[in-house]
Amino acid sequence: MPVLTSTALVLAALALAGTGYPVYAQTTRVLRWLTRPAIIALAVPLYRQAALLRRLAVPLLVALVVGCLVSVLGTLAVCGLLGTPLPFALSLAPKAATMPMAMLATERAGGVPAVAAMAVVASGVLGTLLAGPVFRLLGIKDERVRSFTLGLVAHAIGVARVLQTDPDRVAFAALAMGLNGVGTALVLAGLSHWL
Amino acid sequence: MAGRYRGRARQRPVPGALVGLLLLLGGLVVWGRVPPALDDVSTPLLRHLMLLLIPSVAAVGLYAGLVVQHAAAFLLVGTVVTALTLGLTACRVAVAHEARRPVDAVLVSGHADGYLVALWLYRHRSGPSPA
Repeated sequence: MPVLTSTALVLAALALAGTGYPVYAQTTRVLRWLTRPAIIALAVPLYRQAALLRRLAVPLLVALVVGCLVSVLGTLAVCGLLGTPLPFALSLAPKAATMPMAMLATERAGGVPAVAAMAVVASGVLGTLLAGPVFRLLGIKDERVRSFTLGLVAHAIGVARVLQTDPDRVAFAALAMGLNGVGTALVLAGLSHWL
Repeated sequence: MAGRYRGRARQRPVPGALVGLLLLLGGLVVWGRVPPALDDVSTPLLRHLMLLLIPSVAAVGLYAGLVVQHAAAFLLVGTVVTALTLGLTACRVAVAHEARRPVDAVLVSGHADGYLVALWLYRHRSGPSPA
């Protein structure tokens, strides 16, 4: 993903110039500030995709709630079993959400946004790789189900995959990505009060 | 209109941007369509959303040790939980209809990157203009 290559270039440039991250963070705070209105602006595409939801609200919303909860609670459970510290677990928890939402949710819950970004990339790549075998194992043949599931689990990378394999049904993946971003942020905000 | 929603969102103490997103979404549902002025504001923001995130992602340099220390949790979560989520979600969806609207190019660019938009535009180059 271009974000990763750009980040690697930034880190390399900082190392070469001998500039510390705090200095870089200070000078790029305008970009950081702009992410807030940009996240709010995600409502526009989500609203456009919601037309799909009107006809299929029940199955899609049930799937969204299940997928969102399994991802967040499953991550926290695995981290609990391994004895991972809570801030790190909270950074991995929003991994299925799209990157801006995952970073926002993690920051709010007390995790590390940069680690969340890495978890998001891992979930996107691994989710796209694992989707084929999992669907075959479960006998899932409906392309709409595959598309929605990929968007929910593997966000933008899943949507890109659906664009390649089945462009006619990419709206399902795009809708799932948008909804799960919001859903994950809400679940994590609720959980952070409890934990 | 965009400014009004954003202004309202910023006054809230708790998760600002998320409240703002939900308020704007609610506003659009009430309004029934996307006003052109809002499109003018949101399109460039969404197109460069990933660029805006780079400074925050670059902080991973500070936490590389932490990720290596908890590599087992990172990998286990990445594989087992991801596979579990895939399976359970797929089993839950029992879809009856097909998507009639093509995906919004702005949506894809907002979440992913420029190359996705290029891919989408290439595939739909003879079709109606997006959004």
